[in-house]
Amino acid sequence: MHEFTIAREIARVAIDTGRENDLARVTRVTIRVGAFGHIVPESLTFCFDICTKDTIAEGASLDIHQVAMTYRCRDCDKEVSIEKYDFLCPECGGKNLEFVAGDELYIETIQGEQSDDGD
Amino acid sequence: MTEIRVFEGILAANKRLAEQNRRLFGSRDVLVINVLGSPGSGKTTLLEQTIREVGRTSGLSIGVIEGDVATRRDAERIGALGVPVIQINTAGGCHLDANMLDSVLDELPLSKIDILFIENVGNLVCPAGFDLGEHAKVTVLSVTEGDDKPTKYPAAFLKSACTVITKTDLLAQTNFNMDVAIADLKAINSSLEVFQVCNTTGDGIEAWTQWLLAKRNAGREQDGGDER
Repeated sequence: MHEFTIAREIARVAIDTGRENDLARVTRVTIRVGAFGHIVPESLTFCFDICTKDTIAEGASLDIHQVAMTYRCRDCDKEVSIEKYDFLCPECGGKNLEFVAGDELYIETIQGEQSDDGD
Repeated sequence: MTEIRVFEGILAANKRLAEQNRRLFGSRDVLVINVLGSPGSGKTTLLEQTIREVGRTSGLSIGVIEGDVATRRDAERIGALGVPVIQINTAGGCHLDANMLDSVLDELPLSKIDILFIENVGNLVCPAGFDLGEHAKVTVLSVTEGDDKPTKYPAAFLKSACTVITKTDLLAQTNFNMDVAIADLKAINSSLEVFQVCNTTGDGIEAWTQWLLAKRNAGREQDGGDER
């Protein structure tokens, strides 16, 4: 359910940023989301489309860059992705891990058409 | 085509309110703990036991904010122990946010409270994502939920300073493997403190409350939060 809250905030920032920069239309929003956010991309996109309806961001595409749960293994000293939710180092099988990345949740860029763009 | 680089946190509006709450807590010298866990994991019972133990051993005063989808049942249980309590009903919402908290804080006598617990809506997913202005998150995990829950719902455990494993008197009746659970918790979050507690017998309550009181003293010395 928290996808709707997140979609509403993305829409708010996209619309406000678009207005502040004199965009007639927002066409693309790029976000970075870590796996620890437990966010379902399809659900987020569905909610984003609802939240942008009848605004300058209606129809904008939402590009979701996903960041894997990333840890450093203290045993083999490699940086590894935990894809299987097993919290085992895929290189050496160890559990002596140190969190590195995967809790990102931010908007990277907003693209759009300027009010006076010819096309 | 114009591209604007934003790099703004998606929950920045919530974060700003959370920082405002945290400043208020700091100015009133209150340690604030955001308690996460599944429905039925024993969050409210742990708070009842903690209120008794802290009152008995330290004389510090506790306040509680209860978050639930509906009913005042938890607030009535906590209120029966004579501590100030506020119930927030989210009416369907799956987590508390900083704005909900901000809207009830003036109903609490913060200057007279040493430790404030915020019992979040029972859920291991969404509450992990929303900073309320607390100094630490604590996740409650019960033996009856199974030892696989940390790896299935890792975010709450990653963002917590401490996990309290409850219902340890039921270990023999379940297939919960304590070694596996603790190894997984430490793999997800290597700095996580883990306590084992039985709310029914009181076993382990003392170690957990000592951690809490040390946190309270450390916070007073540092005069700052450590929310991840």
